[in-house]
Amino acid sequence: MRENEDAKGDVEIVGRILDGETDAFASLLSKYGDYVAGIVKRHVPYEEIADTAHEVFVRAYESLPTFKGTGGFQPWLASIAVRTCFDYWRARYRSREVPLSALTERHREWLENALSGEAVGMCSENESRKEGKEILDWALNRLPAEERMVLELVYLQEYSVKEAAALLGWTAANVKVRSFRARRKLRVLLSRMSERGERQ
Amino acid sequence: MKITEEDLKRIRETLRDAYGSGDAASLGGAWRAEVMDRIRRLPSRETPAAFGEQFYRIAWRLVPAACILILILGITLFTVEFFPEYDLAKQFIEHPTAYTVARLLGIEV
Repeated sequence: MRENEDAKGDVEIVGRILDGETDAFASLLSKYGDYVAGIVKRHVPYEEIADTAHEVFVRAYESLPTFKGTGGFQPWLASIAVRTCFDYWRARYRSREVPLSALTERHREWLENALSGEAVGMCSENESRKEGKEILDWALNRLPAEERMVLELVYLQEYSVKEAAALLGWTAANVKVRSFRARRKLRVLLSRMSERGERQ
Repeated sequence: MKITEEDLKRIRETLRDAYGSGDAASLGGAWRAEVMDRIRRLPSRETPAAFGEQFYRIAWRLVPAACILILILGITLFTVEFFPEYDLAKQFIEHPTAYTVARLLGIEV
């Protein structure tokens, strides 16, 4: 009931903005600012969250005439946020600005512990989580932007293929294929790391 | 150590836990003011683009088509044999009336 009222309120605000009341956008910004930051945080480096979220809202404002109001404003905005993150990575890969960090012996141990089931307990500790995050960043930075996004959405955030496809604006078949490839590459990367304790 | 699909499934929760870690992201009032400032500076949707701007936008879109047309005409002129004197004589012999009318109207044929 509350959600329905919220959705109606959003549609009304969008209508006012489209009628020329630009300042009404500030209420959408206050309402969904942290929601968008939460989505963006999962996909881009921490120091890029503010700029990327800024871009999301500018794109949302520019796309308001295409908002139909049927699915609700929040999912529509989530889709713009995910696509903006995808564009962020595409631009980074194009300009070859993706940081390729090195891993240490500690990371390899973390992976071995995770595989043996020990890391589940360890992961409650911040330090251990940080190591796990560094391993993930290391692996994700070695995947193409498309596979990176799909892996994050489907494997790490547990979206269904259909949901991920809607967020990215791709077909479900495309997401399925890329998800399969991304997981295979992740396996290869982690295997390589585990075997050699890769140092770069 | 080779990691199998089963291994990947097994460590999924651990990786998810690590993936979701990190400080919560919250954007403050200054950030909101900055976004609103940029949005206010965006060109208004209601202001129609100036005529000149619209004309140039359309004209530039037609440039590739115009280039192709010029190229085709150029190739045609070079490949097709064109003799004006021959055509003039042919016109005079085959259609003398049309030739005379054209001369009377001052059209150089």
